[in-house]
Amino acid sequence: MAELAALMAQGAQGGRAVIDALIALLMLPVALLPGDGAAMFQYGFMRRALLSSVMVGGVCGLLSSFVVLKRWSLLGDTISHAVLPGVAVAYLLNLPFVIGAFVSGALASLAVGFIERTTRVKEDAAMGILLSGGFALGLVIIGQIASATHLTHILFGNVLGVGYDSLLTTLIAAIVAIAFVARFVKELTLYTFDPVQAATIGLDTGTLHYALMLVLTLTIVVSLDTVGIVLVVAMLVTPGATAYLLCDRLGPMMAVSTGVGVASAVLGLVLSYRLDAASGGTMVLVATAFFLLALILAPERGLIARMRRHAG
Amino acid sequence: MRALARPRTEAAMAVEGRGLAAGYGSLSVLADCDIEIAAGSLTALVGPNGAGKSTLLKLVTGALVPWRGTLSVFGGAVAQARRAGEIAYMPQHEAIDWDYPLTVRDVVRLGRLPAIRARGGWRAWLPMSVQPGADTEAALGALDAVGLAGLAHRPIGALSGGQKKRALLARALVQGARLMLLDEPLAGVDRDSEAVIRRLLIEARAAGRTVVMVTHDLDGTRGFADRVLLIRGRVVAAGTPEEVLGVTPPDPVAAALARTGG
Repeated sequence: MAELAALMAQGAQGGRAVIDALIALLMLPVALLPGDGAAMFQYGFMRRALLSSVMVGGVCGLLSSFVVLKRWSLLGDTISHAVLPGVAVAYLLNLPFVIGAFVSGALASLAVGFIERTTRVKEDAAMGILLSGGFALGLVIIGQIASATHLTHILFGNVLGVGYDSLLTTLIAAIVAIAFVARFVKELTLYTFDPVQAATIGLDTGTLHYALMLVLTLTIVVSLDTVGIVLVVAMLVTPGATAYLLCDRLGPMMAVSTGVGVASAVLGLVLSYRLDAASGGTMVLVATAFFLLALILAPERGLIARMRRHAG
Repeated sequence: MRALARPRTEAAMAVEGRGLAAGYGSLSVLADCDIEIAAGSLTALVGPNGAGKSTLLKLVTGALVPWRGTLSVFGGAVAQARRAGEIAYMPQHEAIDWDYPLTVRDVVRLGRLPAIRARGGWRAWLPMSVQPGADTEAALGALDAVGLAGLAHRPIGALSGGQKKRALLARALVQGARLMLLDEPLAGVDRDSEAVIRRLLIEARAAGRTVVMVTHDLDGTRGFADRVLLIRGRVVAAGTPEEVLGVTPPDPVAAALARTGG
């Protein structure tokens, strides 16, 4: 037991070193910022918040291409809200909240599929029930055991309070998500484009479906510190929808949505610091602004291009 | 390493089903359906809407699991044939989201997925864009065969209805499957596309492939299909196009529709 504890302590040390190295890497471009742009990053909490924003914005952005193409927006919202009772129970049992959140989020996504398959209730109604029911259960439990500040942090994120443990968990989740997408992107492409042909060539579409769902759940759970339960779905939908308006191929779409995710999170962090505004909300507003820009200015599908075509 | 088209004893039947029952939720579509499709034939499945033509194809693809009954492909297990890339499927127009961000070439190149997986090795784990150039060459060759070489880099959604079908046919061809399942390959296509698709299906059969297609155009099977299976919850008539046209009323689809009230 003592050896295990020592090993875990060593792992935590190593993880801390990796996080510090990543932060140092991020400080290189920050140092190039003109004027007093770099000033806010003299604080340790802002450096950690920046790393968290880059990782969360990037992974959410990467997955958001598939969320948009698979029409999983409401599913993402369901999972994120249904995470709350898991967080509460983990708090009660003194477990890492990531574990409780992952379990209850995954249970909710499985329950949606179960209700849809075995009853006449359709998918959207099943998601509405689990979203609200799960969220309500979490609210009631947390109301009994924790302070209002605690609840606010869970619901709306607390990126300025992100610690090393949380960063390490996010990093591991990011690596899992990126590896999953890189390994299965061609299978996922065929599965989302033409699921019957995917089954025809012997792909295990059921496993692929649930694996993508679990990776999505993991991403949502580690994003809670940064954007919170209520707004995380925006980071999973808006970057992908923005890229969808701009791109005709999946590869570029994934690259653009990842970029929009990172830019939204980082710009949102900086703006929220400058304006003393809620960080999660500001990030989502920046993402929404990117979407509006694409909606108006996109070269082929934008409003201006469409008006020009109709006029010409 | 496993070869994609490994030599095996030639089975007489490409598809053999016994006592198949299938449906969606509580809706039964096929009941006690026996079916035989000879290897190397060009077979047309005809019948009214909701008769189970597409459902039969979906049982072979594995997208739908039969409630009862057994199914074999080339005398062996269906699952094995699927994994070996021996079956290709071409969906109906309505089943696809044509706004999906893929170029025509990207769509056709997805037909190389079984070959890439069969090749194995570390490279099979990586995205399509870093696969060997031969896969892209094969996709472009198939696009040339269907007459779409000039449109390879267009978004798939920018093509006409007939061109989209030709692109999906190219995907099936580049897969090199022994059994091609086509759901309404000729529905809503222009004359040129129809001629191209018919010619390529006849060539595919000549090359020893088995072609199974769903169609509403019974007259169009004359001089084209080897066999026609009339489906209405099961196979109710089977024979050459002339034989099946003979046993059915002049306009069988309309008559069948009137009978089923559909």
